[in-house]
Amino acid sequence: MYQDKLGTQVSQTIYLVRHGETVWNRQGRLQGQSDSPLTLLGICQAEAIGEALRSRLDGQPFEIHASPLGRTRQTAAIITDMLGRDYMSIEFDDRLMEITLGDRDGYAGWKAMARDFPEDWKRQQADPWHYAHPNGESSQMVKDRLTPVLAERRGHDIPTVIIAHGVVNKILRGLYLELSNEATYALDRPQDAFHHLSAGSIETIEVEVE
Amino acid sequence: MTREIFLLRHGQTVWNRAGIIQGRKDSPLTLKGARQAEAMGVRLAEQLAGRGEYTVFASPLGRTRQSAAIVCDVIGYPDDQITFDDRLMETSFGRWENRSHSDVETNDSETSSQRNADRWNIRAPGGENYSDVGDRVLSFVGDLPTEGTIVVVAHGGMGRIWRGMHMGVAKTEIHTLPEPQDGFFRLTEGVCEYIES
Repeated sequence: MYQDKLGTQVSQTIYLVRHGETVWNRQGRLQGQSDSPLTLLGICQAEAIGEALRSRLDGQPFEIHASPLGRTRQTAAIITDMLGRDYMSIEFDDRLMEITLGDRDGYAGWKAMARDFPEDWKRQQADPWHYAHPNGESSQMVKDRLTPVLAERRGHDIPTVIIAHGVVNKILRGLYLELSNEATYALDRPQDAFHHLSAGSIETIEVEVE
Repeated sequence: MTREIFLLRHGQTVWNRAGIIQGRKDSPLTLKGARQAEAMGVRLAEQLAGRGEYTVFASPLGRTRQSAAIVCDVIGYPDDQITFDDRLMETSFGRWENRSHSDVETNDSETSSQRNADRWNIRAPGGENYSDVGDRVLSFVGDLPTEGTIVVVAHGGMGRIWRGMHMGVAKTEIHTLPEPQDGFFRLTEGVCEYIES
């Protein structure tokens, strides 16, 4: 148990997982809320993470929440198989979906963006946290939808496994550690590791992928 | 050289395992299903060795996109060159989708038995009959080049309708054909060969 700023006893353990490598990840395409399937490596990453989680959880009860996008469903199916848990017991939560780039979901890549939309690129570099692509979300907007997700985990005695995305997981970690926006933005997005949030700190657990 | 078509079914999905009718709806591959897709890829790579160029087509549903990505990783085919074609989608089961087989047989027993007696002509409510599926399969095949090697990643239901038509199987017997996920089929002129993974 640890005490948060209000002196409340908070017991929340969260295992935060990013989906495995997808076809578009490998191509450098920007997915946002569009989707592509896991590569063979992505499948192996999901398997390795599932195995590591199994040994960590060691038979304890746990909740499992996931983003409803295809790549996280696919990762969740493999992880629940490794954990001996029914896929149907997963709680899918729209608030866990990746940041959307709006009209530019699925765009060819950051280089192409910078080349094709130089004005937008300048604005984004100037204030990345508040920048949103046309009809897309800013990091601040994603933080706003994730804040209640984290708050809801308080007072849960059993651990929660959350299967989500690169940017979403960075923002959840930033919220958990009460980091500045700049520090949150700079966090990494591994797919061969996952994060254990507990007692106010975060442990990175790397996995060996065959 | 004549034309050969390698016809694959997606690997096991969560709903396959739970006995829930998918049709046009979708669920992800299980761990076993991902491994089945990988095994099919390994066997297919052996078959394709020395073949030269080939083209990969797939149904655009999630489970076939997932399976095709895995197969193409194994055989070394660029995933941005997979052609997705709606005519390769699974048979639509309309309002029966997302229900278990036993639920449909028990609670829709009249329509279910009518359909079982004549799958070629009778549709699931809001769904397709075998004839509908046959038409779109023939349309897809009709657009293929007449020579060369083609790989298709698709489904069990439409796959056996395709093979049934290819082999001249009686319309009332098509539903007895197997829908393996541990192997695939090679269709050439008048022949349908099963290749185990």
